Amino acid sequence: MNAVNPVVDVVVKASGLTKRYGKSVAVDNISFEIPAGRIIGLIGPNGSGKTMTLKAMLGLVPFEGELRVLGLDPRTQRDELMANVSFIADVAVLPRWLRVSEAVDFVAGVHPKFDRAKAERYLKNTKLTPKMKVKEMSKGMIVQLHLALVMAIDAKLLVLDEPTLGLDILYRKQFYQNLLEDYFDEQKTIIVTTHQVEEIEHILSDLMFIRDGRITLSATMDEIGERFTEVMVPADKVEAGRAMKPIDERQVFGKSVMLFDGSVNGVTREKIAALGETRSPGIADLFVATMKGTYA
Amino acid sequence: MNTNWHDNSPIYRQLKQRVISMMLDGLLKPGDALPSVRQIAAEYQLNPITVSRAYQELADETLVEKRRGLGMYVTDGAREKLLTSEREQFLKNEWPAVLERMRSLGLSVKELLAGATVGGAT
Amino acid sequence: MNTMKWLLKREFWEHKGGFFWAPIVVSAIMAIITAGSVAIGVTKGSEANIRINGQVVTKLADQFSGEEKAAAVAQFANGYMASGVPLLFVLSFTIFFYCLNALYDERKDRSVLFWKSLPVTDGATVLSKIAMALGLAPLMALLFGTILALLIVVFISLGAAAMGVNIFGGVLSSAALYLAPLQIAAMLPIYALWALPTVGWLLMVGAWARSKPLLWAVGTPLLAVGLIAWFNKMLAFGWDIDWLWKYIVGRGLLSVTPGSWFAYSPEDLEMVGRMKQVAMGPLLAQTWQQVTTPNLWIGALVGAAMIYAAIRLRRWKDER
Repeated sequence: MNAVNPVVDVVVKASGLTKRYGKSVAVDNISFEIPAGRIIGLIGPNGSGKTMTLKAMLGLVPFEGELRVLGLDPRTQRDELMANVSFIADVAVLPRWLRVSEAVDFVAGVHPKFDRAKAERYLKNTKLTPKMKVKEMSKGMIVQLHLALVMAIDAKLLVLDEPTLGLDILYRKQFYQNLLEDYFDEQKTIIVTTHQVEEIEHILSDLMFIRDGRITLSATMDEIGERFTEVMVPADKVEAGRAMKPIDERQVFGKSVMLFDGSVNGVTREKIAALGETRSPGIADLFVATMKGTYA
Repeated sequence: MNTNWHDNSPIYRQLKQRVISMMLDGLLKPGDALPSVRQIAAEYQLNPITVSRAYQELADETLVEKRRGLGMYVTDGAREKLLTSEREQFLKNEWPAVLERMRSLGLSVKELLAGATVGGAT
Repeated sequence: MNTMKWLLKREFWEHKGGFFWAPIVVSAIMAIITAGSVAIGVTKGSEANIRINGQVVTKLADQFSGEEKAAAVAQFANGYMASGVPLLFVLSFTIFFYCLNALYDERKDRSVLFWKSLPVTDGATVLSKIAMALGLAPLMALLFGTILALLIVVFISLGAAAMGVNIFGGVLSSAALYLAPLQIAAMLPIYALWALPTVGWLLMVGAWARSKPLLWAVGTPLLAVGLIAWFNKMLAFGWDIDWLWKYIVGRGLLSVTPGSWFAYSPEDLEMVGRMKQVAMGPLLAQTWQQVTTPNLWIGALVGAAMIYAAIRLRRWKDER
């Protein structure tokens, strides 16, 4: 596998990706491209198909359609793929009998791209000792161990499926801090799914919303900043605002907050600004607005 | 470090503003090194691309310069450049707005100057 | 990358209890009991007898000629390994449950998602577990068994010496003493081939069952054959139900028991039954006779097919 060209290379390419589960369709004919050097958030409600999409990328489940990860087909070339892809499936998957030293030894013994010194350096800054077993550790410590292993692997793609679920805030902050400080660079790509959208809001470079097996939004954070605008609309302008068909409206302190999609016809910057004070919406608000139908 | 990024302007611009404020306040002097992109990204939980962009704009305005292999450094004369442009900004945008406000409140400039202690410019 | 070495180490780390501590504890208990009873026997004086391999030793000095003494000593040296038989039982249990849980436990605690995040193929993983079950585990049991048996020889010889009978010289110079462990080791390849149907079945069930793998593994063949047997009786089909019990249930569930191959030919059963003392030579010879039977090879093939199924299941099964 040649080195990934940071400017041009596509790390994940899906075309008509479909995953059926008996009669239901978990992933419905989706297509997308993820270039290298990005940190992309895959956000969706439970059952939206986001975990299935990840599993398909990792070759854990069969699927229909085309999917290429690092140029390889996860169905037939999984073994080759795994040397360059790392993943944390969720918080609690390390076996309880495993000791810290055993974990490091094992990965060092089977992974060609593992930097043992790096893992040990990271572990030194934690309360983990070599003889400690996973069953003696708190959730946060288990994540620290798993992260130590993952960060020492020079993988081109890192997939994180709810990596901070159930962790207290200190561990969560540390998790991303460590990833940014010691791991990520332009040669690597990270795909994250999480429910804690706010905490990774500024870390992401790209965003993909998925719902009912379909992608409802796929854009870079810059594009989203340009495209979506929130306005605080005073009572006298509410009618005018509603006429422009906002994608969402909610009440805050007696004022109407409307969310507009600039890619919709007739919605321009000037018209929105005329309604009131504008600002960029947070991902969480954007997510809730676009997902409202699902939870109703 | 926890910071609230307000949502009126893109993050990279706010970050740039922050660095500019530090330069104006004298916290960053000519010849000082800016923290690395990686450090800022990790500390403030931002995407490195965002940080790079802020640094790049500062470099484009010759407020900082890239020294090969070492990182970003505040240029000589950065502060003067900033003071000039900030003064312009104040006189063009902020000052008229303050005047307007004073008029609507019925305050006169002379009264205010007489009562106030004018702090020395830093 | 020496992946297999690390996979085997991992199996050992995970199952130290069954493969290491259990045999040691059983051995220690047996050694202590033997030492204890020898000591008691010695202190009881001439009323006590020490029996080894069916031969009373203490009377040797008085009643037997030099020739007969030599023969008795030879039998002792030949059959001393039999004192390791309890370890064989431990081994059977350990291997049975090890194979059943090998692919199930990692699914139950979801750690399979960790193992699969590393560049180790499903084939290599399953193979390492088989290597552990049919290679390393029996070898370790053999090692512990040999040490235990030798300890017992020493204790008994000491006891005999304390009663005035010196068998040390005879025992230590007997070739059989040194050959016995090697003869048993030579049976291991046949054991491995013979055990494949059970190993394959258990691995497959462990890779498939959503819960209660033991129930599925044991219940399915028992129920299936039981139902067929019942139908056979009810409808008087006249089918050979014994064959089903012997080959489906027997081979499917009991092949991990060392020596179970002797139960499949009446001559072997007779020979073993006639043995008043255990002798390794004939046992070894009869074991290798299995190579000529279709039973061994067909069983091995069926086992291999189930192992392949287990590998495919591990590769593709989607866990929620």
